[in-house]
Amino acid sequence: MFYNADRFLDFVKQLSSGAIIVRGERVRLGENVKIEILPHSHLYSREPYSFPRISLAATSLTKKMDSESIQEIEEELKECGYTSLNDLGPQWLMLPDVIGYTYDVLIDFPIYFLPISVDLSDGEAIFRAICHKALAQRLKLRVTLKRRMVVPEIGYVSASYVPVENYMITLPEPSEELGEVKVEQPFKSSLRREDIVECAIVSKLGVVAVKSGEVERILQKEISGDFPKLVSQFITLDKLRELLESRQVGGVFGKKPDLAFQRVVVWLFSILGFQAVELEGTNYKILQEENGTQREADVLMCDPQTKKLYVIDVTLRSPEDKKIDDIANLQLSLQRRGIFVEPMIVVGELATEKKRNVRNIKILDYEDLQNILEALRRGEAEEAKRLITR
Amino acid sequence: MYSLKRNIGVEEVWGELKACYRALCIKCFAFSKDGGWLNIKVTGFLSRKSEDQLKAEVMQEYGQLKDLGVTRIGKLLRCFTMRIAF
Repeated sequence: MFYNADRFLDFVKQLSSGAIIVRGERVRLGENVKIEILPHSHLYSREPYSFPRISLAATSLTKKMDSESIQEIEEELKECGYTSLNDLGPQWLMLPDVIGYTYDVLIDFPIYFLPISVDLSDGEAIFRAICHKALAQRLKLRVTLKRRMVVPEIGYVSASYVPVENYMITLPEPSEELGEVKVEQPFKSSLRREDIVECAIVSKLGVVAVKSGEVERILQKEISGDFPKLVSQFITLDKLRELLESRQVGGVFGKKPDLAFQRVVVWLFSILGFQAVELEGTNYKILQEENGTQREADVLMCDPQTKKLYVIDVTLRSPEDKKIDDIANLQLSLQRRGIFVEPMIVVGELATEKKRNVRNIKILDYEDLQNILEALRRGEAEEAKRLITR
Repeated sequence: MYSLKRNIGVEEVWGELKACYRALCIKCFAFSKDGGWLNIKVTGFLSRKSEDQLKAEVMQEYGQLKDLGVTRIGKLLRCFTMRIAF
């Protein structure tokens, strides 16, 4: 699948030579081009997740654009409604400040690895992350248990965290190209509530990501707020996570994983304070237009704080374009009736590609749901809610 | 990235990450100077997306520039794009 990968290095050679050929045209960069790797990115992300990114930067020491040329271009741009090249940069180059940067070339390297959570169960650390299949074998996970130790010094006593157990683990491959990996590591010591569990993902390039937490906080299952507390007497957060994965809530949903998933999503949104009405699975999910066209919604939702309304399609698989069109058209249909809603699709698996879609429909997928649960676990209900409404 | 090794080279980065990428999408603003094109800025995005997927995205973005009339001033400013598939 990945043939001719070294075409990238050929392109980098072109950059070093001071010019690139684009569509048969030679674009000069200047002379004495310096190439370096930066530990971050300056560009807006084209990826739907906040994967860590590093970048290649190329800078010519000779060529710089003169202010006269910029002015000339910007005068012409006024005819298009722009007054500065900087207004156009984010749109085309995904670069916030075209004129200000001294770099001539910036190339993004997304690192397809995203830590999701660190949990504890029966004295065992459980680390979850989203990882690219090709990357898993190149990454290692360091799991460290740190303990607060008193360090006597002259005149006073201080305390610092000292590693008491360390493990270096090779990551398992995810089953899909971009999928979840889970690592379980038991500790020999009995855990103290002020201990810290630290998980660091390392590669030959350096430390890709670190996720850590205090044992007390990781084990905290109670969520704040009266209503969430009431719900958690019946369905704990751990159970909710399990149900989002298994789509088995039993009862009348026994053989209907799509409806079971929808029910769990609505539970989650309700815990966060949304008002939701489930329509899918009943005879009332159809909205009939005057010309006879039928539109459908699985869930209707309202944010009582902001009064914002949502129509939601809940699906187990990454949505086809038609599904995206359908929910976008339902929004327009309601708009014609004077009701303004935000359409949303909630997906039970990763839906990376579909997050950037032509109709700009918001898609919440498996990773988002996990992040919402994580925020809830940390007691950050507002942050959890923001992940839905942002 | 949390902490990258110092003075790491392009080859080393590429060697570690190349198996994740299917294509590189390049975008460029260049301006006309002395009968040729001089770079204003080049940005590039390595991606696990296929070349066709990237092409569809970029064409949509280029279409917006076209609708705004930005591509009409092509004698002065050019919005270049190309993709390299691996």
